[in-house]
Amino acid sequence: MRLSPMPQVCAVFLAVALLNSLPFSSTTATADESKSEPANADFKLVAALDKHDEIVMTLDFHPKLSLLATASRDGQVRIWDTKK
Amino acid sequence: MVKTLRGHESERGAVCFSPNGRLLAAGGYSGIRVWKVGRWQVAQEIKLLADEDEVTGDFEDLDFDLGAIEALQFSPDSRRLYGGGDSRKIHVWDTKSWRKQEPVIGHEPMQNDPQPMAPPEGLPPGVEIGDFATCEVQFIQFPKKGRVFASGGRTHALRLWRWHKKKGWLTFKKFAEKAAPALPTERMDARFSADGTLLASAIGTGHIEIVDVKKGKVLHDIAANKSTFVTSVEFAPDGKSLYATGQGLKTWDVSTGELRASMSLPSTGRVVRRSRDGKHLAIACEDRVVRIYAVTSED
Repeated sequence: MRLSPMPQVCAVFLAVALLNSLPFSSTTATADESKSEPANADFKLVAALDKHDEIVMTLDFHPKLSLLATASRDGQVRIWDTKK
Repeated sequence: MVKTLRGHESERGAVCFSPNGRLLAAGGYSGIRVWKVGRWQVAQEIKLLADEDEVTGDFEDLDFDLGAIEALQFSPDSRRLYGGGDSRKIHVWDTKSWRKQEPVIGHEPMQNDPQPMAPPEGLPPGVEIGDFATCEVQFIQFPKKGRVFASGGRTHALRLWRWHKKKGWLTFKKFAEKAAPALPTERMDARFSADGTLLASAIGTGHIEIVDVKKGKVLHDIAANKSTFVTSVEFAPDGKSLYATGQGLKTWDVSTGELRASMSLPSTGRVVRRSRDGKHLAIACEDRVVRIYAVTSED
């Protein structure tokens, strides 16, 4: 469908006016959307640690230092520096 | 990677740093090993069974009462190490003398406890029905402060314990399991919020409970999805969001119990933990890979 420039401007104007008149900000609209189809923009993969020969059963972060301990089924415990 | 240490083989396994950051403990089938953080020397060895190459006929230092270790946690003051597993008991050690503290905390089913759930139909080969009747300790969790802790096993999804001046640790709340885990090897997990007021638990059927610790009351009972399952949970630092893994990684709103975000993972997630600042999540996946995710949106 083709719209002449005038109605387009009007449509944008109307949309902005509508949004401003709503009691909630536009972030609420995206949150509602995410209920039906949740967004996956909340997490970004930054590292994949693949040195273990077997399944990693459990892990724990160090309470102060940038260390992560991972333990695999074969009894290996690996210490990772999470800054590197 | 900094270091590779030799721990104990295990089907579920346990690894934890002490809250003061000085010690690392790992447990498995044959016992517990504790290292000093930094130099990574073995600080203590608690043996259930001697390693095959170490059998010398001297069984004096073996603790047959221990059972395979599935859960390990240091007390908030780092002065005690709590360990549990197959033995249906929680053992406590002093982290200086490494003497075992008495009494050992019993984790057996009690008279008015719910009966073990019937195993689900269509068990895969090799899985025995008897595996479902046991009551092991699969997790032990402490809040940062306060004299309570949480533990769980297969027939009790969740127990809350409170310290009694004369009687020691007493169960003050038990939460019956809603449904049996789909497989006995599946993990159960629970985590306190940073302020210690909330406790979230997950069992491998897609079920999450958020509990008010003081009142011992369930605030939210999230049946995530019958076709999916949840193996592990973790609170965001502010306690407003709860991360859950299993099939995918999901974020739940703690106040409303609503799903806020969801992402698929390349492989099933076993355990999720956050870094201290909450900026990163580490997820151990079934494909042997540990994935680190940056948390990009914070409400």
